[in-house]
Amino acid sequence: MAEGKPFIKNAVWQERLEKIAQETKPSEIDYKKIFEETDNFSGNAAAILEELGVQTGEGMGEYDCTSDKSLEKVSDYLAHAIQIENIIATTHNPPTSALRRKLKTAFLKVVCWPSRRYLYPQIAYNEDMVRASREMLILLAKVNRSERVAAEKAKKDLKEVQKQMIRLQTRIEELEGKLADSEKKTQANPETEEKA
Amino acid sequence: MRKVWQFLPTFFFGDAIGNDCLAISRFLTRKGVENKIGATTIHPKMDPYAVAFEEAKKQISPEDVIIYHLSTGDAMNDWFSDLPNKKAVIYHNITPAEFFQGYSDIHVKVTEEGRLQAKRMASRVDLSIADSEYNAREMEEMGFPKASVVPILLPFEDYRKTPDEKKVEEMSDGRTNILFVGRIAPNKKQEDIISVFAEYVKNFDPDARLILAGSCGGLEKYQERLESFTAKLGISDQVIFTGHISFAEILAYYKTASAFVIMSEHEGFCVPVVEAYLFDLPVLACDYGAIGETMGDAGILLSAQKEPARAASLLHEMLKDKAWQEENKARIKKALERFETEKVEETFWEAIKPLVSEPETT
Repeated sequence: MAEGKPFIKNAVWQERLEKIAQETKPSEIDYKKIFEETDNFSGNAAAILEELGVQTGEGMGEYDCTSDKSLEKVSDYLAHAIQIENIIATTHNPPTSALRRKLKTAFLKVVCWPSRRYLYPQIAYNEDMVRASREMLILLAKVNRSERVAAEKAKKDLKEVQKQMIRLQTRIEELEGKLADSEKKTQANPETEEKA
Repeated sequence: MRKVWQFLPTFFFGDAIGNDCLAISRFLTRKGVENKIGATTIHPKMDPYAVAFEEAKKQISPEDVIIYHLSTGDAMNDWFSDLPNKKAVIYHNITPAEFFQGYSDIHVKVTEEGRLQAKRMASRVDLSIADSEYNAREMEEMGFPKASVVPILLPFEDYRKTPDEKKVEEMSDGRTNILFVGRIAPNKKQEDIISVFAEYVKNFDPDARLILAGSCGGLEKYQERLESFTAKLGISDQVIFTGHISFAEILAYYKTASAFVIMSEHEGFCVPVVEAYLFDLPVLACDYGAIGETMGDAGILLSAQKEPARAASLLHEMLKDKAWQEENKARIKKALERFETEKVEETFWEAIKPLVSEPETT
C-alpha cells in the first residue's frame, strides 16, 4: 500500500480507523506468493479417472448447458467406465461387500460429477466430488493393499510347500536308495531274508 | 392485465435468484397478476411453484409478458432473445470468465458464452431491471435499454426462523467466529479472507475460527488449493469449509458469528451483506463490484487494496470496540431500510408496470 493513500473507503468512524490502519505495519508474510506457490490440487477427478483407466480429456473438458446433452455425457461416461475392466474388477471384487458398496458409490459420484446439478439437485452435497474422489482413492488403496498382502502370503506359502516338497523328494530318494540296497542284499543271501 | 412468465435456467431452493424469483411471483399474485415460473432444472422443493421448461414453452401465449433472470450462460438465453413476446430482463450479473481460468473450463465456457448471449439479448428486450447500480452500468455498456435498479427481493422473515440448534451449541464455545457465506469460487477470493484471518490469529486472537460456508460445486480445484494454503499457513484446524449446508445451519453460523469478512472481487449485489446485517454483524469488505453500494454506510469498506495485517487490525478494532459496534448497528438498521420487502416490491412494480398493465391486443 502506498504510504498515506487511504486504506478505508467508507466506515463508521472512518478517520479513527484510518489512523489505526496507517499505524499498522504491513505484514512481512507474502500471502499472495504463498498462495500462488500452493500446489494446485492433488486429487482432481480427471486425474483420478485417468489413473483408473477412464479416458477423460474430451468428455470432461466439453460442456453443454442443456441438460439433455449433459445427461448424454453422463451416460457416455458410465458406458465407457463400464468397459474398463480394471475398475469394474476392483469394484466388484473387494474383500468385503461393504467395501464394494462404498467403492461403487464413490465411483459413481466421481463419474457423475460434471452433471450432478442436473441429475441430483435434490441431494444435499455435503460430500462433494473431491471427498468422493478421496474416499475412492483410499478404498482402492485398501483393496490393493489387501490384494498385495494376500499375494505375498500365497507366495510365502508356495515357497514353504516347495521346500517341503524338496524335503519329501529327498526323503523319498533316501528311502528308495535304502530299499534298493535292501533288495540287493536279499538277492545275494535269500536265507537271511527268510530267517529274518 | 397480461399473464407474466418468469424464466430462469435453474430454479434452486435457497439461492438468491431462486428466492428473488419466488418472491416476485408471490408479489405478482398479490397484485392480481396471473403468473408462472418456467425452468430447466427445478429443485424438488421448488417443484410446486414451477413448470418444466419444455412444458412451459408450450403454454406461453403471444400476449404473455416474459421476465427473464439473466445470471449465466445457457441455451435458454438465446431462446428468450428470440421470443416475439413483450420481454423484461433482470440482470443479476455474470461473473467474468477470467476468474475461473485454471480452475474450471466449464465455468470459463459458460460465463464467456453468457456474456456473449447477454450482448445479443440487449437490443431485443423491452425493459431492463438490474439489482444494483453496478449491474445497471454493465447493462448499459452491453447495450440494454436503461435499467431500473430493483434490489433482490429478500424474504426477511426467513432469517427469523429457528437456526440449527446443534450447530449453535457447537459454535458457542467462547471462540471468536469469523464468517463468510458464499460459494467457494475464485471471484470470492477466499484466499484473501484466509490471509486476513491468519494475521488476525497471529496478532490478536490465536483461538479464533474462520468459517467459509458454501459449496464448491464444480470448483473443487480452487477449494483444494485453499485447503493446501491453510495447511501451509498452519491454520488448517481453525478454518472450517462447511460444504453445502442447510438453511438452518447457515442461520446458526450467522447467529454465532462475531464478524463477517468479504474479500470478493466481483459481486453483482452481494446478498450475504444483507444477511449479515440482518444478524447485526459488523462487516469488513473490499470495494469491488456492487459491494460498496449494498453495504451503504455501515461496516468497514476498504478501498480496493488488500493488506492483510492492516485489514486484521481493523477486524480486531471492530470486534473489541463496543461503542463502535453500537454506532454500526444504528447504521445497519438504516442500510437495511433500502431492502425492506415492501419498498423493493414497490420499486419493482413501478419498473414492470408499463409492460404488465399494457392492455392486451386480442
